[in-house]
Amino acid sequence: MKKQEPSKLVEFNNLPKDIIFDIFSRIPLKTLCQFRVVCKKWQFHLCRNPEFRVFYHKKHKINPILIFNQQNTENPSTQLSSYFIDGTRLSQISTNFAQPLVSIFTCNGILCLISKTNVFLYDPITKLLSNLPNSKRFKSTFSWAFGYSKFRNVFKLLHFYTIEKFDNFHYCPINEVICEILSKPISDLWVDSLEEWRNLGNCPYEFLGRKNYAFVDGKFYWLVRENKFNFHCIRVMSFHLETEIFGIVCFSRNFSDRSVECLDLVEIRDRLCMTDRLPGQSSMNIWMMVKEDDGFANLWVKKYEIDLNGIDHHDVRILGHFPRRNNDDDDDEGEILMKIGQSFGFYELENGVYREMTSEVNKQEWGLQLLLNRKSIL
Amino acid sequence: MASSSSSSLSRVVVKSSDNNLFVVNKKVASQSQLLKQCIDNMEEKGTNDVILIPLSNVTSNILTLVLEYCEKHADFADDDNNNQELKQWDHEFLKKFDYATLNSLTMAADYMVTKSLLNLCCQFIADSIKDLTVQQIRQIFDIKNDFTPQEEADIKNENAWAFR
Repeated sequence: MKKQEPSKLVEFNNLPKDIIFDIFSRIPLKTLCQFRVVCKKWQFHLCRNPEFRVFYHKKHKINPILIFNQQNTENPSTQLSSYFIDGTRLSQISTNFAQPLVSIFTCNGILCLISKTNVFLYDPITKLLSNLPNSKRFKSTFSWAFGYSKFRNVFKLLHFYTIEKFDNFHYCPINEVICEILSKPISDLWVDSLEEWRNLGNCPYEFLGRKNYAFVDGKFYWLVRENKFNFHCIRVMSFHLETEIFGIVCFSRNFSDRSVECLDLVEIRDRLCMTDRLPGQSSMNIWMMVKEDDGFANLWVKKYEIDLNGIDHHDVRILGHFPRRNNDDDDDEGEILMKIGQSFGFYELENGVYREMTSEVNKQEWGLQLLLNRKSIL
Repeated sequence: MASSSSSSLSRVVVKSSDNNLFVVNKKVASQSQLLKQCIDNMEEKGTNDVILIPLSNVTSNILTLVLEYCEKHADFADDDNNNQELKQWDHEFLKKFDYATLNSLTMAADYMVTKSLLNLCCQFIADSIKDLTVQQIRQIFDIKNDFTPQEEADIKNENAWAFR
């Protein structure tokens, strides 16, 4: 080793911030989390420094993760396998809950696992698991939604359940949908805490279609019908996570006469989008809501026309959108993850290229979730 | 040392922070964007004089190393086929230094805008520390543990998953 005169040499902690960031961002995430304990300066950069976070995520382009899940039919266990999007294996767990899982949702890198009686949060990288409080109403569950409010740094879980009532006006029994909500602050994500389910009252509109939601910029969106007894009146209902208020989004006349089976809501490039595809057609239109200002109507613009190249499977769905890997161009349109029947594939929005997921990752008959925004760890 | 061709310089003189002078061939100097920019500016003005570029942040020890790197890479600048050989050389080159020297070299590469060297150093440092324990990190970088035992235990607890 060549020894230089020590006094003139630079100590690591005195290197310019940019160089320290550059070196840190080349180290695996798990190791970085160990390094938090080296000294206060390192802890600051690796835990709290927003500049380093931005640097890290820009460099790593919020590495998306694929979560496959499969229900074991013999016993009530669920297999979860996770992969980085290039097909590298990440982890595999087999959950062993008393009840099989019925739904899995993702938000900000956290999974929300739902069985008939319990709700769990799970992080596939750290493998931490926490049990959320139960609600007496789980038995009559109707639907769920899982999101993150960035203003207060809380995850929020919406639970819709039904109660039967008698409609005196129409003189028939009807199901009413009630909504309750649970907040889980990110600070005590992995400890059992005392939060309780809060009742938000009646859901003001009636769900349509698959009841699945899109989560965009702090709001949930569902396809609903405004008037219970008018079947041709499709609307989009919103729920603002911060204010906890339901609303209705202006809806283009272009789809209001559509059958709800043709429509689906997804998030693409931080915007609410509506996919529109007639059964048996091999193309799909994606409309994007480009403006939502108070007092102004939202504008739905036909943004993409996806050519499925002769694939006319009845079940074509968009599972999620993510920025393209290894691409420094910020304007890049990115890719969408699609499910066509039982198989999965990626579609590049810019040049319209579709490619199937590689065979070893493409798990037939498994469910698939796209996990994005792993910003809760770093 | 005057320029041989009419309006382009062939050499520059670089001055280290401890006032040592280095005569550097233009092709070698061009490996550093900072030096290249200085040369380009002078050439635009049509100067034929030899220019002196002072580097107030780089000691002569470190500057010698940066220039050694630049010289090697200037030799290889025109052919891509020898990439493997060059990579081997890069690795052997960095292997010789202790961490304090590496840090200074990294900083000089940043200051002189020698991107490939900066990249190389950062990757080298990252690779060599990523498998070390916290204790070893403190040792090689001479970092004082400024946590109380309780604080340290708390952080380890919060990040227990990473230590498994």
